[in-house]
Amino acid sequence: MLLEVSNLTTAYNGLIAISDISMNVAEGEIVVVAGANGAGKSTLLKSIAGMERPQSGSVRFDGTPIGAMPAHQIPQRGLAYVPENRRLFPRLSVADNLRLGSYLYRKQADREAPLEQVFTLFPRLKERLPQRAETLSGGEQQMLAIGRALMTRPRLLMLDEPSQGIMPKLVDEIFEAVKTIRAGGVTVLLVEQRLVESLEIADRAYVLQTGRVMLSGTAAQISADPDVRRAYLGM
Amino acid sequence: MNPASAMQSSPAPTAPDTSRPILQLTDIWQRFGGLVANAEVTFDVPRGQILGLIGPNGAGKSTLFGIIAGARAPVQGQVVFEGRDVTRLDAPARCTLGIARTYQVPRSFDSMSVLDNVMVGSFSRHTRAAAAREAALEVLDFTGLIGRAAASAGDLTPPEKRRLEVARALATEPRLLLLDEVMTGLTPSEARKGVELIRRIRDRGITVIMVEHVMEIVMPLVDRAIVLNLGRVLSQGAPHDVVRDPAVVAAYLGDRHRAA
Repeated sequence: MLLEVSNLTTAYNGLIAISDISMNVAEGEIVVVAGANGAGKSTLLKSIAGMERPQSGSVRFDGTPIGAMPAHQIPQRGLAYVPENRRLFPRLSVADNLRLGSYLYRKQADREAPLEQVFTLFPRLKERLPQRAETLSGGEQQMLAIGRALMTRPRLLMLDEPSQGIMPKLVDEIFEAVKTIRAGGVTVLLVEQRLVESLEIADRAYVLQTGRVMLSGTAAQISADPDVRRAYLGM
Repeated sequence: MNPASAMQSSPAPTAPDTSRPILQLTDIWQRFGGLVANAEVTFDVPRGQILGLIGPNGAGKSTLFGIIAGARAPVQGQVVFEGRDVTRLDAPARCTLGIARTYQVPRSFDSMSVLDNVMVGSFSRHTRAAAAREAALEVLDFTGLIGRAAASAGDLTPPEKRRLEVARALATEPRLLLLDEVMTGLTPSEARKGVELIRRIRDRGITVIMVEHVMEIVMPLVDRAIVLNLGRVLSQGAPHDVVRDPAVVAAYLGDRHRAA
């Protein structure tokens, strides 16, 4: 397994956000973590990415425990994280945002090597290189955030709700890009509230309810499971 | 005249008309810049019910909650409480009329005792400290916090702080209680106690509106659910019916073909 999460519990000031979550992602998979708002999806990703300290449990990436590792050391192991709301540098240009993604390779001549792949995925980024990130549309900003993450040359790309707040047409484009990214050899862990669409591209899914894994299985199994409605709507 | 002392005698001079809805929202709109947070929101809340306000992220629940609580007036529309237009009244004025709220992130006075925190609420109905203290103690007993009355609010556990939010709101003697995510982050056993408390509040005749994410708790608890999506009322009715509404299922789980 590329990513192994075991019995992870994370609390904010004593209020439990995720409880005893175990899940894994194999090399080459697209795995979706779904669930309604407040289910703990973002907390799970933050806990994996080192942005939150779990109270208990472990995270192993390619066999190495990364649970105690500072967040800034995790990308160099090959794990990239695109947070909710993208967290771009709004006043920097598109080009500089991408360049910051390749910071780990700053001493290398081929620092910008993944750029070509990013432009193939999202041609409109190439058209907007000198523009400030804040002038992009929501969908374009999401593309830039994914592009910046790809500049870290990840083995595992974690995306937190890339569909949030963007036009349906761009959601389709981004989901297509996720498929292309995986075809290029990058494993993807996708957090989404919109389960139906994400199951179309995913191999497997975990459905969270109130901080726990309520359902897990292949995309086909989850699509057909009547308990999904209960996981989201409570009854 | 001091409004607090005016409220001290009960029943209030204008006894509430129990046959009418306690709260009526008519064509509520709220905008922030270009963003429409609420649009055409119209519904009634019958007296004595527990109403759940639910919806996916960004549905406009918190905005609407704030409009009912008096945190911010809508750009258009009317909020009528017990037959009286309160649209332009601020939160303190609404509290005096009988609307109380809790906050998602507890706003206790951490350097004060639990009892004193609740007395802040009961002083809105009682001018004398002794009467306010007595009322606060009764509320602490009702909410199961009586054993912590002398503790500093800052020393409470997170679930106890949630309870304190509810206690302080109850101490203002509301007829409409607005609960903002009081169940979030609780363990299942804590949540069960919370459910029991909310039922007992309703049984006292207090109407409850709750914004809540924890669906497996809120849906079995509420008498009626209003589902908001993209700022509008998407569906409303008994929880059993609402969860079977295809539009609600699509709003939560996504369905690009239907949504397109």
